[in-house]
Amino acid sequence: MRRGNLNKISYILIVVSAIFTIISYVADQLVIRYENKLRLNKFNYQNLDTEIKSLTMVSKSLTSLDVESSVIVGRELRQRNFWIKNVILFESDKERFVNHKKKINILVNQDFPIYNIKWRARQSTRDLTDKVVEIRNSYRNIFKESIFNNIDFYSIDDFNENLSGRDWFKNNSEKFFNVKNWDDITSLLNSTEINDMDLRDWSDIRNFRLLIAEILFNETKKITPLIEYLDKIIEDKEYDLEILFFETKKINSYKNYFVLTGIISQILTLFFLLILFRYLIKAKII
Amino acid sequence: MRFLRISLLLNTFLNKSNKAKFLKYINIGIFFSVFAISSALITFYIENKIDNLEYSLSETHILQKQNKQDIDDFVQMKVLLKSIVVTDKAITDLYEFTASTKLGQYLITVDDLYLPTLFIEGQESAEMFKEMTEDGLWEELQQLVSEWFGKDSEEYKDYSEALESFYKNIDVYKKDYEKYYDRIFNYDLNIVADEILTKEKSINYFDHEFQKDNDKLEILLLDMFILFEVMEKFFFELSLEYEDDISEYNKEILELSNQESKIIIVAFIFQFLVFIIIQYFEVLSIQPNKLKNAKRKSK
Repeated sequence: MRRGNLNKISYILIVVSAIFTIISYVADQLVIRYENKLRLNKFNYQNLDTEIKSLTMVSKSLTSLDVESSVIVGRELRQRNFWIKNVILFESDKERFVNHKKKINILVNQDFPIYNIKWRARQSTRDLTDKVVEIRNSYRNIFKESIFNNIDFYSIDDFNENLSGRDWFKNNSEKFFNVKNWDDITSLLNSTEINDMDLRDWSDIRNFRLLIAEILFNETKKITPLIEYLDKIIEDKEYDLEILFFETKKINSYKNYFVLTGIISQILTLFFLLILFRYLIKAKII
Repeated sequence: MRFLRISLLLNTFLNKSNKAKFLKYINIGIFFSVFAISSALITFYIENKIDNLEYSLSETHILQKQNKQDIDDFVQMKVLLKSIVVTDKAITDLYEFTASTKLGQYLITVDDLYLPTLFIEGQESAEMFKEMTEDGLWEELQQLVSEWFGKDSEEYKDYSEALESFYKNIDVYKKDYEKYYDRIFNYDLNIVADEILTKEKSINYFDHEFQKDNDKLEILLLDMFILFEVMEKFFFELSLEYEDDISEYNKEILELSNQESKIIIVAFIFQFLVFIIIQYFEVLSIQPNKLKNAKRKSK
């Protein structure tokens, strides 16, 4: 072998080094591509995670309001007749009630017990109205969430309209004797002297409470499918999130493998070059 | 044909006198590259193992998260049930006590006390119970309880008894209470007033359909409470299992990481020894040539 000439082994070593250099380059490029994929996946993951948290919050808030509404309606329905029956029995001057009082020998001589019942009935009506307004406002706050913009089986406008109180008295005029509008009921509940209120006024208050309970009950009933719909979306999105999580994990693993492959290839390139130099020196080519 | 003249390039750095020195540096380079390759391969192998473990760890974390969510749901349902059972029972008791007085017997009717609860529950929970019962969910959970706690356990006994009682009373949800809508939301005060004059609908007879159904509903809710309680216990124990699994995976990953460094150090020492031995023999192989050359020069 002449000095300065490369032989077959030298060429093989050079080709092997070149192959590992190419592998290293390819691995580096793949790392860059997978890094981009990873960034995109992480971005999607975070967005989806935030979306799920937001939807879960909406679903939980709706569930809480649904339960609260049901409790209010349930309590209201249980006591819907109790106090008015007392008022009728003790205030009515109809003969049948006067006789009945005598028959059962219940005589209330003092004014206080019946005044107490009336005072509490009026007070609890105010409380009920406040509670329903609070619940309505809480619902309205939740309905501001963007998810409700795409729901076609539930109308937020109907909800707002039904719980706005507009036309309540106009549409239910047959249920009231004296009350024709909000001013009348507000006056009955706040400014009119209890002793100046007659049985018709108390009847109106009783029916006003029942009307509130009925409207709240009907609106609450419509919330349940909404919660079910949200829970279904959350479930689907959680499944997507899980897939995305494992996909991200997989991409990350591949990226790590390519990084390691790149490192190993670079070292192997160096290794074969060193072997080449060693061979060149040993074979006295240089 | 000569495509490459690396020798020309190398000639500028090399001359005959420092070839041996240069060989030594190349050998050191080879030694380091072999060490680097072996370290990278060890890392590759261990990382692969760690990766599999991390995958299982992530799966367990997800299962644990879902499990915690289930526990949270069961706790919330239990609290809700408890509040319904306790509060409603207290209010019902108070009304029943009032109804047993001379005046109360005319003022409280079955429509007032029992119908609203049956009506609301019938509307809100009937569908849910129907789905739960039809899908065989309770039986699946019973199977889980049986496998987890064993058939002789208190938990399985409580669950089975509660489930049996639950099925005895579930027919309360099959009844249509929606038909009583107008009786519930009755705005005609003449009907209400007439109720005052009669004891016909009084709750003191304990024989009305609503009253019986209400009792059934109470038992049903209590049974549900027991079912949820057993399930909650099951999910809590499952959560502990997941915790154990997670800590086991963490421990294994940590051990593998430590093992990786140890193996690399051992590989380094081993390769260093091999390098020393090779260097020794290489020096020995060069030495006789040097001696021969020295003798030739002295002559």
